[in-house]
Amino acid sequence: MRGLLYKDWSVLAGQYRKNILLLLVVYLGMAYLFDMPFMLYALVFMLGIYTQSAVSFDEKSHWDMYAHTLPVSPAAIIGSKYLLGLLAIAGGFLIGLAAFLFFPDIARGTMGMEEALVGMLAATALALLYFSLSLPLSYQLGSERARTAVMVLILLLAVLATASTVLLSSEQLQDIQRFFGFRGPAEIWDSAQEQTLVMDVEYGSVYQWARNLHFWWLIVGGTAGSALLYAGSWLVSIAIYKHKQF
Amino acid sequence: MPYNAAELHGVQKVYKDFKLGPLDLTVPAGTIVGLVGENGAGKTTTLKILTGVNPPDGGRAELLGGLPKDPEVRARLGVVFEEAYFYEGMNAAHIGRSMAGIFGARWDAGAFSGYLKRFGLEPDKKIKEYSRGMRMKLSLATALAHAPEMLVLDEPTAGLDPVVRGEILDLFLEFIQDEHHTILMSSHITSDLEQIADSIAYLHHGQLLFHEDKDALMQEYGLLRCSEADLHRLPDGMAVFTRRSTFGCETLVKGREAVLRLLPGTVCDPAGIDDIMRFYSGRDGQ
Repeated sequence: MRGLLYKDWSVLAGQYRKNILLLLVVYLGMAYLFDMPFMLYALVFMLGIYTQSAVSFDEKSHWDMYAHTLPVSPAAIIGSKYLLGLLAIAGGFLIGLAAFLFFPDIARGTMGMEEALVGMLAATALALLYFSLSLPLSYQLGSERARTAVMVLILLLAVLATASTVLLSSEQLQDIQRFFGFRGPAEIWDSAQEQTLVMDVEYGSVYQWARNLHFWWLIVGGTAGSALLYAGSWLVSIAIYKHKQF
Repeated sequence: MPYNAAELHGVQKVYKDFKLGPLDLTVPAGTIVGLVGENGAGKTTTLKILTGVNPPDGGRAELLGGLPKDPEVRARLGVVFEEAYFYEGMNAAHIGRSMAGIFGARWDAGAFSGYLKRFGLEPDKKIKEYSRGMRMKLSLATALAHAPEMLVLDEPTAGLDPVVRGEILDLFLEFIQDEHHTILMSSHITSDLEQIADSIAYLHHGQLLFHEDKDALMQEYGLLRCSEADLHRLPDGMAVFTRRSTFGCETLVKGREAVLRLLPGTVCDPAGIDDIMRFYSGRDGQ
């Protein structure tokens, strides 16, 4: 595994060293200069994207055929790609989080580290979801066609998510939003007037969301679910790879 | 006691437009076996099955006393495929470090660096900046640095100039000095095989036409130039295929000595591997 990881690392570092440095400068610069925390979230995803290129380089050099003659198992060959992806995402996460420590909004107190953490976890979950889909598809269809297939899949997921909101009644939707803390309680007890008041308040800040324990279930559960999906995707990729002919 | 480094038993591989086998082939340890055949005859398919790249659809392959997909077996194998290798953006130093991680204690960094020095390869130069000959030398250095017992080589001398080819053939002869070492190599450059191979296996349209000792093969087959009338005096089965022209007949014959006894006065030169392939291919093309 060490040798396989080193191979991918040296290929990516050789090909993209300047690109990655430029990406870091541009993303950090935009985040700091234009108050765009989104750029720090995107960093997690973008660094992960580079590892996807390792599969393309393997295809170009017919590496997988050669690797089949070496004393490495398909699980190790595939595992090195998943580990590399994980390391890149973890690297992006740590760089992003460290950058938030000096972020102007954090320094001014208009944004909390709590919000940064939530954003970074959501970006991590999305990145893991993307690679969980794209890596097995790359081994099945080839990396070029896999990119298109993943875009189509993500579009389908978005359509499904939208369709599900259409299928639910507005009361059901509000109940779900309340459960996760995106909306205030439907009614509160007014002790002054000693009666129940009906409420319909939508919360727009992470501070408000974060006060609801279920919101953390969603964030931590989403990230853990993506990590589980990533592990499942690794097993699927191994199964695909074992049946691949060269 | 002599043993086989590799064996194929009834191996078959079926593609949409091509079928290999059933194929039986043995590669005795301590020998160089040359695998020849036309383009698309199944040489690379055979090597891929033998090295565990692809599984056979039927039959079984054995390599160094085990199965080709077994990592323990692969650790004792060195392979060079014409097109499959590390990405060209890497350099020899990267490859050495990567292979050290893959082969562990088996990888001899000193031997690898020795091969690089011997071949005049700069460790920090990217593969894409190498010539074809240098790339092949780097592939061979990579295949040899973990002290393999067997080398499987797909067209290792293709497209190389005679000087580089000579260097590479010398390396193979050096490798085979150890009686436990074995080489199976496919090649279109039959003169290379005539120089170094102990036996020749000829694949034709996915079938093994023969696997014979090279020297016996060169003695057995002859290129007979004679008239049509002389040709009719040969017993059945002796003539493999005849090309007719206004100048007479040119025939590939089996049993050159017997032919010369039967047709004294005719010319029957020893046939080279190229001649044998050319005539077999002509016969089947009819």
